[in-house]
Amino acid sequence: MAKPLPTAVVLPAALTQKTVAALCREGALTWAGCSAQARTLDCSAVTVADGAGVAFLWVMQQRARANGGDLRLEALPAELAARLEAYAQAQQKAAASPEVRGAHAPRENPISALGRRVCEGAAAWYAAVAYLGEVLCSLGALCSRRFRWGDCGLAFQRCGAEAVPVSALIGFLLGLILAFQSAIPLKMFGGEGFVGGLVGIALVRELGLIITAILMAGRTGSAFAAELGTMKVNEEIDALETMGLKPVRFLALPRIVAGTLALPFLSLFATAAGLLGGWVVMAVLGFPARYYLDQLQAFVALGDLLGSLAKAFLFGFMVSAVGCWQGLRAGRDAGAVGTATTAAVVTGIVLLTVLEGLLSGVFYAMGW
Amino acid sequence: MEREVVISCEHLATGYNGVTLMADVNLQIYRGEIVFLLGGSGCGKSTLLKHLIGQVPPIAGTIRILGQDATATDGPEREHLLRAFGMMYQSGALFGNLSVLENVLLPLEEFTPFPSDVREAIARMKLAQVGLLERAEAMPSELSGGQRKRAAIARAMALDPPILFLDEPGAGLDPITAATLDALIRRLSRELGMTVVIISHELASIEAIADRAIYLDRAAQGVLDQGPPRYLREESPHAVIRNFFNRRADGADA
Repeated sequence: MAKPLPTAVVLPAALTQKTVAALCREGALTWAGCSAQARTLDCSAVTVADGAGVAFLWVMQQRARANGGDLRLEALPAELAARLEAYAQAQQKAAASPEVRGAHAPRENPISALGRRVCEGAAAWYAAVAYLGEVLCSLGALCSRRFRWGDCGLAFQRCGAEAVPVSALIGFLLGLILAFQSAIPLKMFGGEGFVGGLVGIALVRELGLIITAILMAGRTGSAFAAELGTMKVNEEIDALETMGLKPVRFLALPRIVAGTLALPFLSLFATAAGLLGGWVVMAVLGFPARYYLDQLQAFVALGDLLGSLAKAFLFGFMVSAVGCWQGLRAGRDAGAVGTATTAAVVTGIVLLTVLEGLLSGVFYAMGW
Repeated sequence: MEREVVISCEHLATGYNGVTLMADVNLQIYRGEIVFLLGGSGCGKSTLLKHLIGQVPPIAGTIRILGQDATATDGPEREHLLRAFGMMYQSGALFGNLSVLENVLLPLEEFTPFPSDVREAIARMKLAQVGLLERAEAMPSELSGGQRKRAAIARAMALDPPILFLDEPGAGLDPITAATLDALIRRLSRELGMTVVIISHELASIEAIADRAIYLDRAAQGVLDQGPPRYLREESPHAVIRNFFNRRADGADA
């Protein structure tokens, strides 16, 4: 700085947010901290100070001390001195408290970290298998009059009926795209007439189901996880347990039953819409509807449809069970609900793909 | 002595979604006093508070805070008004992904031009005032219920607002913690001249720290009676208020 710094600064009468902000702008803090020599802060005019004012005085002193200087607060009103002193004491007390000292936990060594991770992973798998077992065992409750058909109906409406438009739309577009794209290579061999067969087999056997199952993982699995996760945060699940009611039977089972029953229907709607999309393309390519239907009949067997429906029950069960599972094991804060929802969708889709791969292999080996 | 009115409601109709809870609320709150809003369960105290802080617009009438119309729920005047008061929610409403210190720092970071060490000193001083300095680095989930409320008060005070609204500060706390909280509120009001508006049913707190209590009643469509707790307990012309202060069920002999 060009001009020599003054050794004393006079503070205004009111040390409030506004005046402190002005002092900061004028470089008061830098002034306090930039030299080792003794400085004076003339506080004789100060009559009132708010939180910012007291903090300002504190920081001025701290900055001066950090640079080995000394800042004298001259004619400091007794009330302000008491507030500074109270804070200094509170800080000393806090520094001595076991809670602060315990806050810096020693770093875990990598081997025990690995071991802990493995144990946690194993415990998670164990819990997942236990949950699956509990769901299957509680299926018996379906026959009991205590099964909550009302909840189940509501869940079915949400994850089934209300998902029909979007499933049909996606199915239709899938059929359309599939037909258009396959028409290009097939045309090279003069085989565009077989587009109908290709679309039919692909949609009925696999794609109609997979697209709706993924849709359901995103739409319903996440909803179940968020719903149950929020109930957990609100201690509703604890309340059920203390009443002696099993959350799995009471909350998860109605939703899982609804999801299991809904997916085959949704898959049928998506497949039908996809076949309609294929027909539109065939019509554009100049084939009559009769020809398209004959193609479908020739290539697609009833067994294909039944096999895909059977898989639909399985996938529906899996997606909704995963959703409920992630919700039930969620943590207890807002972030945990988000984590559970993400986990529900990701786990749902990954498991779906793995299961589909396995089943494709089995179906192929069995010649279905 | 003429006292400065900081909050005034005139012919205020409280309620939301078109349902009126109280049709004609008239009240005035003066600078530096500790005022309790009382009333039977469901009479609309919390709704009145939501009107006062501008979260829900009232059905009719005017609210003035520091002389400024407070019925608007947005706009630049609203921004200015928001800085005039701090609000502590019933459950604390601390942000779960921030530590206690960061919760208190948040308004300072957003609304003040101070360098970071000054901001942190302000926040730590607020925490020291509520006796939570040693828990500054803790996450809200690691705090007890009373600690959360105290941290929420520290956050509400971060910008030194002239008015502090507290929704049920003592509910669910043990008597000792509640008394500590009362002493804190009293000290803040005396030391810093804050106006404190409290919704609470805790008779002990009212007796201990209230300068004045305002009793709201749905049947009366507004303020039934108001005054220092002693007056309400012993001299109020309304049996319901005397019963309220003496913890008597309706119909018990007087």
